[in-house]
Amino acid sequence: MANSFRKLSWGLLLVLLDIRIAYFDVWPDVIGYGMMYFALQRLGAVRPAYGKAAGWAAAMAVVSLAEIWPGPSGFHADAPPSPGWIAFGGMLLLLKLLFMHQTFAAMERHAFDGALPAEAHVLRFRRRLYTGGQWLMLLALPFALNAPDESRMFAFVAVIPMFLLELMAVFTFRRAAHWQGRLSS
Amino acid sequence: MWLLAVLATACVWVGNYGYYLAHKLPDIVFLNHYYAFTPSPGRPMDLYYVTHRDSRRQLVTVQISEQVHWYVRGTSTYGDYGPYRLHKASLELIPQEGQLPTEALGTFREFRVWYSDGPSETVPIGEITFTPAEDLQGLPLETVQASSSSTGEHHHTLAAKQDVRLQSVAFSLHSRIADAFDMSVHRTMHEEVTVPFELKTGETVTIDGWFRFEPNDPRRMEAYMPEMRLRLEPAEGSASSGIRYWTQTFYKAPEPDKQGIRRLIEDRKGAERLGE
Repeated sequence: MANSFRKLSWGLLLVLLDIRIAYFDVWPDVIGYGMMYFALQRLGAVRPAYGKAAGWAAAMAVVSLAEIWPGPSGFHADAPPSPGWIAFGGMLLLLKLLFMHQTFAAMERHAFDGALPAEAHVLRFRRRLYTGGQWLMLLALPFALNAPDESRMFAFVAVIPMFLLELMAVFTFRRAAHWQGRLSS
Repeated sequence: MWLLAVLATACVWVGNYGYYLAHKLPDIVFLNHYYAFTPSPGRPMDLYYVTHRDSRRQLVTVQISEQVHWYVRGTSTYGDYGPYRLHKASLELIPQEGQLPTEALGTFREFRVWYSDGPSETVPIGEITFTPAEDLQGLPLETVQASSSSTGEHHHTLAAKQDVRLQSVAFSLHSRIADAFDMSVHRTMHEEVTVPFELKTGETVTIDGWFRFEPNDPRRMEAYMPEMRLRLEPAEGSASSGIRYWTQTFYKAPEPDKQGIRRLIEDRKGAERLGE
């Protein structure tokens, strides 16, 4: 179980890394989501709620394949994003919101049932924080379709707290690796 | 709570997409250009057009006749106005050596234009008049100093190479801009000495021209390039003979705003509907 939580944190960390050479994603997100899928599959054998989260991870892995090579049009600095890219970005955000909500909710229940109420309480707070942040991003994204170019700087600023939330999730998964031995069941 | 969040998200997405569709501009809309000038070798002519911000279509060629095509030498973004983008395309009318073909002389209200993605169409462009070039050899004046700005302020100082009489001055596009274009031709340092007057060899004349469109003047949305024609006659007692003309253009780039661009697009759409 500890290994699965570690794998989950490494998977999310790899999703956060975005290294591109000539538009090509040399470290595609599908690898990170794949690791998270297998980790959640193994945890699903212990608690079925993780299995549901694994389903969302699989969906994220498939959808993220489109990001490997979006082509120059996906990075055209002089043009605003097309409605297609906005819709795609929205779908990614929504899927990730549902995936992380499901994962955090499964962990929260797991901690509560395992007589770790303090952890369950922290997890609930972090789940709300993360999904709230992700929802705000989902709410702001369609404005990119019509907002003036000057507002792109604000969008860049908004990415920073979101990155911090992702890091919070990474450390939450790593912390869960230490539950073993403390859980009552 | 969840239902409210989902509802708010749906409203924001639908609202933004609706706004995007309502302001989508599939065509290119050209601003009105009022130019009346004599093209000279190597000197570009600017055309301004509006696209939707996410359009990749660009102007590449202007066709005047079967034989005469002008290619766009450079395009730049002039400004963004809400969902629309104004582009400036520079056309080279005459290469470094050559002259304007006779088919291109005259007044044009429409150009046939070709776009980067293949299609072509005939579009209204305002009114552009190309006049034949004067013989510049042996002109009794030469430029010693010149400055101009795209906002329409111009200052030129010319020196007389021989004694000459500056008889009269006129400028094109008079009926369109007479109330908003001021010009002054006077002896340098003596503003009270205006045409007609005589210049001795080595003396200088100052030509000032400036546009003064009011802030809400719809002509701010348009590009102007009138040409001044200064009639030169031999000075009294001069050995030279014959009447010559000194020509000088004054350029005024458009100063659009969001409402003006929107109005232009609505007007063009309305005109297209009437034409159908």
